[in-house]
Amino acid sequence: MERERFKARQKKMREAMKENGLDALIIYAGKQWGAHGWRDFPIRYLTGYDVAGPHALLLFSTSGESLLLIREKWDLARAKTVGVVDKVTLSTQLAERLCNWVDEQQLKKGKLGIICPGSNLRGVDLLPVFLAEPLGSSFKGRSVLAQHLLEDIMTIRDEYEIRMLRESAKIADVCTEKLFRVAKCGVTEQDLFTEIFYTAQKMGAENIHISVTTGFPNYWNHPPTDRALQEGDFLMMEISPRFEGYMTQVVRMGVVGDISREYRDLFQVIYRALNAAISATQAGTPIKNVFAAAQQVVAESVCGILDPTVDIGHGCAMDLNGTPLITAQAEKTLRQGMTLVIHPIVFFPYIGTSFMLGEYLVVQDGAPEVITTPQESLISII
Amino acid sequence: MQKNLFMENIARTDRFMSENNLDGLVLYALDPFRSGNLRYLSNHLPYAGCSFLIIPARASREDYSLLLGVLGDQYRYVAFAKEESWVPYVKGWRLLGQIRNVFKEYSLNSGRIGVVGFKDMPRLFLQFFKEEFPQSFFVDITNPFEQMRMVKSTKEIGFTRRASEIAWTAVDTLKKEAKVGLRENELAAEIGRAVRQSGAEIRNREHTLLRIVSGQKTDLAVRPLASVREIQLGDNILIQICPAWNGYRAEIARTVRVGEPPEERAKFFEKIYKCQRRILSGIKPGVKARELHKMAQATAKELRIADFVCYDFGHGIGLSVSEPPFLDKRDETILVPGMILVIRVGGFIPKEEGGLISDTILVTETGNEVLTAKDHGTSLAE
Repeated sequence: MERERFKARQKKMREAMKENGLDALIIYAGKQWGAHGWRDFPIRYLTGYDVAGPHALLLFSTSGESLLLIREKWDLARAKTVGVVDKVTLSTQLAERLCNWVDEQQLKKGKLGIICPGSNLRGVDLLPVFLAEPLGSSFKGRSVLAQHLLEDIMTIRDEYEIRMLRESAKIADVCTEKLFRVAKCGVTEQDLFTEIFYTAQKMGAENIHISVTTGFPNYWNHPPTDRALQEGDFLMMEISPRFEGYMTQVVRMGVVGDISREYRDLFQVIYRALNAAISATQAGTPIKNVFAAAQQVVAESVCGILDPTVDIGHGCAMDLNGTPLITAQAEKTLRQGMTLVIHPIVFFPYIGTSFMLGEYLVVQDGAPEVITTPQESLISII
Repeated sequence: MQKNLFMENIARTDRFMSENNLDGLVLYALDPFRSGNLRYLSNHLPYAGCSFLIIPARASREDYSLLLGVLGDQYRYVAFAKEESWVPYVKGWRLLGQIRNVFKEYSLNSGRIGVVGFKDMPRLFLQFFKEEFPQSFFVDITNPFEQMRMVKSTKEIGFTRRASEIAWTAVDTLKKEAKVGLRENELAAEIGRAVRQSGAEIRNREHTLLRIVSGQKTDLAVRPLASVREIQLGDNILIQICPAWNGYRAEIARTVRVGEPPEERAKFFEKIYKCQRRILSGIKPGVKARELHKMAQATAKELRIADFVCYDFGHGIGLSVSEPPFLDKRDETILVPGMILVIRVGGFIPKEEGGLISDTILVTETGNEVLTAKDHGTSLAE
């Protein structure tokens, strides 16, 4: 069953290659953290092999044969066991091996697709110099970016993926409980990270991404620091546990000490904006309408600002910050089976502080299914 | 972050630029595990995209420019980067435009510019530099820059000592916590929490490179992810961890057994251990890295484990997990006091047995000092 899943994905990839006139495809990935999450997911999604080293290549040849190139001798046996791929080859000289493969495929003048994760930028060559330069010398045909082919295949999650995402969402919920149990005056952002990571890992998460901001006024979420919580602080934390490669995301908010009526009212703005966006999320809806729904609530509140240049959510599963981006300018429409985190961030200029709240959901024909347990009020941290 | 902590590094870099006839220096980094060069001069670690640091020759202390982001969408992280780094000029919007401005301001649009991280940089940036500044000559200066950093200062050695103590906490915790019935991920959670509580550096996600694998026949190398497998009597548990303190890392790996192992398995591990000890005995000032590699290979052959060794024998360690010198047949580096190395021997006989050991070693005036050693790790977990 496992093998069939990956074979089916590769079949889709080959069909997409054919439709787009690609003679061959180069997929670059590695155990690195890039601009938008872990950069290992294309190979993991297509073969089941979670890349261990910083650089790896998955190559689809003209005949449709798949070849996985890795550099780690110590992981070769596992790659061969776990990876659903026609051939696995060990090579410490990836660039040289890649050029040989281009020769073997007689690709000198063909059309080559390139997938390189880590950016939502289209039409930009992000292959590292150590691969791109030798490739450019040995391949004289046309190379095109093919990131969108993979995105199109990945965007609609199947039953297995939704099951994994539910597991991740459960972990996110338990981590949220833990967050508000351990948070108190004197506890540092790093202490919070330690306890939440511990909780997530105990529940089977293979990793977790956490960004946090504390203080008043606050600034954008960042890696946890040694800053200790103080009376009157705002606490905002983004929690994204990774389970079997799949990630959900929640954003949670609290205040250290008593919550004034004013803050409760401001929380209602972000809460209503989030829920307006969630209500607008259904298959067939233009993505920009989801942004507009949140924007309308914030505009009506008078006191808050929703930055039109920042997304209020994004696709999220094996790629943490995936497509589609929920922006004011998004051109596509939502489709059933997409999974999204929606997390508007509202800036209140007169107190100089941002509020951010986020839930994870599955797009349906009708109302979406929110699979994280929603936060309905500002939490008081005593 | 106080810039006076960096004065030593800045002075070294000034000399380096002068010796290499550089009019400017550009440092590129993306992956936090391999960003030591950038951190050496800025204390900045990329966490949401790539970063560039640009320095003109004979720079005043206010001339350091840190630019964040993939084509400039990381402006949200500027506040944190400013807090984390001592660099006075930090920008995160319209990256290519900012690079253009800084080059103009520092008169770098002609002359010899050294690029650190040249080969890992997306080709896009190389093309940009070449097209935008045709009068400048861009040279890959990564290796010489890393070689400049090979000999650690007293302060750097102190940081590595602290990281080594933290690394040992991991092994101690494993011995204390490992028991029959506990899952690998639960054990990883205990170890992760212990090392973080001991002061291991924390970022947004797993940052210690903790890897654990258990099995009756430990024929698997250390996996990147802990599984949900339950530990059984007679298991071998392999642990590898590389925590950081103030950015400086130390690596330790041990093979710990649960209960009495079969005699042949113990013998295999003894050979691995003996091989590592033999390499350690050869580490002293004046020896070349390639000679150590030759010696390691000869020892492995003599002990009849050469065919099963699947890890490299070691390399330098510091702000990056892997730095020069490398125990490699081509590395002519002569060891001198102050260098810090990881010496590692690991291998497995497929479907039979395996073992891994590594330590962090300081080259001293008279030989070497093992920073991570307390025991070699074959002692039993209860």
